[in-house]
Formats: sequence, structure tokens, C-alpha cells
Amino acid sequence: MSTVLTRTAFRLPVVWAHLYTLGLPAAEREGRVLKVKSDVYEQHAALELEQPGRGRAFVVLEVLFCLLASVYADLSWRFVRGHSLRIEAVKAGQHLFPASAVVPLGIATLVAATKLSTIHDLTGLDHLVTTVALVLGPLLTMVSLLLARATPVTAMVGVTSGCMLLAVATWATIVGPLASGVSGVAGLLFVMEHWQAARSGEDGLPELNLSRETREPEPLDGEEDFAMTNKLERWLSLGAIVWAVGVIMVFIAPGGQDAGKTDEEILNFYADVNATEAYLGVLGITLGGLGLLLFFGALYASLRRAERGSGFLSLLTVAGAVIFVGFFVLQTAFSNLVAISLSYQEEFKAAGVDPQIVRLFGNLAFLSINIAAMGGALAAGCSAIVALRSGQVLNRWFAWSGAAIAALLLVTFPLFGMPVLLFTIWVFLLGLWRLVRWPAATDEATALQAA
Amino acid sequence: MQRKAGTLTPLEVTILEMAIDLAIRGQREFHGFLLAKEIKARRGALFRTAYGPLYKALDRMEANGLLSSQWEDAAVAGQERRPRRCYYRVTASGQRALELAGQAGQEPGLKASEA
Repeated sequence: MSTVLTRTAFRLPVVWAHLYTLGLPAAEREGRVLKVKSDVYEQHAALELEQPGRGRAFVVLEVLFCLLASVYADLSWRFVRGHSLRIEAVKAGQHLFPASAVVPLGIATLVAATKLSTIHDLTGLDHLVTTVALVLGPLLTMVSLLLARATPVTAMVGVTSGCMLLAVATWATIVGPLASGVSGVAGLLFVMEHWQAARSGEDGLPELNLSRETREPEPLDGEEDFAMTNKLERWLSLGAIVWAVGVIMVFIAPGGQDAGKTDEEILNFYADVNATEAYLGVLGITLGGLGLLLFFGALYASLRRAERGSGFLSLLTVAGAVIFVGFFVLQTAFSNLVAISLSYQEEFKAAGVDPQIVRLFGNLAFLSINIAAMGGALAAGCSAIVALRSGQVLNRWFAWSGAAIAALLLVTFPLFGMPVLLFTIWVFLLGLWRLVRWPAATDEATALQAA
Repeated sequence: MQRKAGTLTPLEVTILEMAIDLAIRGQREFHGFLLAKEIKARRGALFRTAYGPLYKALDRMEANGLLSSQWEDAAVAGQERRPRRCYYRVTASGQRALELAGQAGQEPGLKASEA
């Protein structure tokens, strides 16, 4: 292995340290980077001396392994530090506009303006929805950047601007709204984070002393980590609301046709189908599915604490949620695929719609929604059992209704998919409840932790 | 890893044990790489402990008063033509915390990722 490659491998941890400390105060940043630089230097020197027989390949492998194994810990450390600094900044009345945000915001605005100027074949509601999505995304990002401090923004803006650049590069209709959507979600997150930080400051949280020299020893109780975990769990409940929005978008989409329809009915349906609505439906449920997974991830953390032991039921809850989301997205895709293909694939359009293909996709969609329902039953049922057994996480109304919905989901087929809708409403209300009633839930969790 | 009230994580126990072990051998101060190397040797691991979990634990322990840190004199590092080291030292609170952990039957951790 060449010396250049070895040197490059040893530089990677330092480059990574520069990246994840972006936005931190200069002294703190320099301190962390210098520690990494020093340790990498020592490691390089020691491995060359102590293990010459292993060769450079082993050295590089070890450096890369350690780098990968560090990513999670580095990012979580950065997240906690960023949060503390934001609270400090808000309390000090600093509302900074980071200069580094100008470029991504400029790109966002450029993309939005360009896309708006090229939309000419959309009418009515489609035009309105697309316009709002394109304008709202960059606008929300801009507002949030004005409100929030630059610390965590750097990373998220990187993602947003990356999407925007992708949109410009590919010039695709599909990527434009997606980029604006990511931008909008990032914007909303930062607004909420700022609001939360401001609220924490007003509530008189303990002063955060960032000076190492004067920092008093804190009690060894893991309070800070636990508080951060709780906040994440609470705000990830928003995923349930995102999911509900995604489901509404599915209802707006044209969907497919039942296998029992005649050829003529099928052909008439596809003669005047709206492909943009079909596409937005698939996009909406995909983003909604991600939201639902985040929600169930947070719910898992709460269930796991309450269940104790092996955590088997909590794990089954998440597994059920993954099955539900996966097959629900597939169902939506199968239902809308013909409409999308008709609009975006010239070859498909030229050949015309084959009613048998439509029936095939209809059956696949039907099969998928029934499999999704089984996953939903697992998720609702297991979470209800944990809640009822432990008396925590969900109140008894949610627990019993969850158990009932789980039972209904098992018989989705004869009930025309209604249990899936009930499950969505249950998830939505549960998300709202966890958001609004979180202080009570936190008390329970803290009591459990102390126990 | 979620820490239970009043307890140390396995990596924190390991760090304190290593630090005290080093002090017994006459080295009262240690830096990140030395610690990682000692942990690797003790565990007989193929790779050393990743810096991310290690620094996170060191920062937390310093904040909790279990360790204190000091940057090396720039002149010393300059003479040896290498970057400055950040030296850590176990405090009395750290020693006490390790004793309490021992009384509570805590075992040193085997996985640095649990920090």
C-alpha cells in the first residue's frame, strides 16, 4: 500500500473532526481537532514502530475502522453540544444569520424561481400545491435560519443544499418538489428547535457554563443524556402527523382500478388520469412512511424502558411498523404506477393501457395492503400489551383502543381496508398525545429510571 | 448507552481502572492515544478503541469531575516536533466513583461503543 494512501487514511479522522465540529466556538473546535490530530500522530508513530510486520494495509484498516466506529459517538456529542450552545445563544439574545447559509439559500431561491418559471402545463390545484411546496420550502428554511443559531444548521443546510444542487443538476420535475420538501422539513425542525430552546431558557434551566476552568462538577446521574433522549422522543412524535398527511395525499391520488372492473371502465379511467396527483401520492406516502418509522422508533425507546427484560415485545412493535410502512408504500406505488408510467414513459403511453396489467397491479396492491395490515396489527398489538402490562407509555384508552384496532387489522380483508384507516387515526392521535402530554410521560419515565 | 442513576458506564469504569493502573506504574497523566492503547492491550482486541466514544466518555467524566485535563506545554511538543497532547488525570472524585462502582459490583465494560 502506498505511502500516499496511508497518509490520506491518517488525515481522514482529522478532516472528519473539522467537519463535525463546524459551528462550535473556535476554542472548543480547535481543542477537539488538536486532540484528534495528536492521537492520530501518536497512533501513526506507534504502529510504525510496534507492528512493522503487520504492514501498512493493517494500519489503514485500523484507522478506517476506528473512524467508522466513531461517527455515531462524534455526532451525538456534537448534537448535545450544539443544543447547549443554542440555549446559551437564545438566552443571550443572539439571533445570528450565518454567512455560510447565504449560498444554499441562494441556490434554493434560484431553484424555486426556475421551477416556477418552467411550470406551464399544470393547472388548478396541481399548480397551487406545487407552487406552495416550491416557495414554502426555501422560505421556511430562510425564516428558521434567521431565528436559529448556525450550530446545527450547518449539517442540515448541507443536506438541503445538496438536494437543491441535485435538482439543478438533474433538472427533473420529481426532484424539485422533493428538494423543497426536505428544505421545508429542515426549516420547520429548526423553528421548533429554536422555540424549544427559547422555552427552556425562559423556564430557567440551569445555567450552562461553557468554561472548562470554572465548570463545577455535576452530579453523576446521566441527567443531560436522559433529557436529550426525552426531547428527541417527544419531538419525533411529529412523525405520526407527517404520516397522517401522507395518507391524505394518497386519498388525493387517483389510485388504481379494481380487478372486477370491465375493460371499458379501466380504459375510460386512464384516459383522463392525473399523473401529477399520482406522483404526489407516492411521494407523500414515502415521506409519511419515514415519519411513521421515526415515530415508532421513539415509541420503541419508551416501550423498551417500560418493558425491561429482553424487550421482545418492543422490538416486535418496530418490526410490525417496518412491515406496515413497507407494504403500505408498495400498495400506493402499485396503485399509481400505471398512471405515472402513462405520463412519464413515452413507450408505455404509445403502447396503450392493457387492462390485464391494470388488474395485475390492482391485485398486487390489494395483497400489499393486507400484508401491511398484519404489520400494523403487530405494531399496535405489541405496544398495547406492553402499555397494559407496565401501566406506562400509553394511557389505558390508547392501550385498549390499540388492542382493538390490532384485532380489527387482522381481518382487514372483509372490512374493505377500514382498519388501516383506523390505525392511521390511532397513530395520529397518539402522536398528538405524546407531544402535548409529554411532561407527564417524562415524569413516569424519570420515575422508572430512578427505580 | 443509557446510564443508570449514580452508576458509571462500562467504558468509564475501564478508563478509571486504566488511569489508576497507569498511576500505580508511575504515570499519573495520560493522553487519548495512550489510553486507547492500554485498553486495546488489556482486552487483547485486534483494533484499538475508537476515539469518538473515548472522547465522549472523557468529556463527560471531566464534566462530572471524575477527571481533570491540561494541555501540554507547546514548547515541549515543539521540541519533539509533534502536536500538543491533552493530558488527563484522575481526581479524588474519580477514585471514589470507581470504589463505589466496585462495591456495587460493576464490571469493566468490554465494548467501547457502549459509552
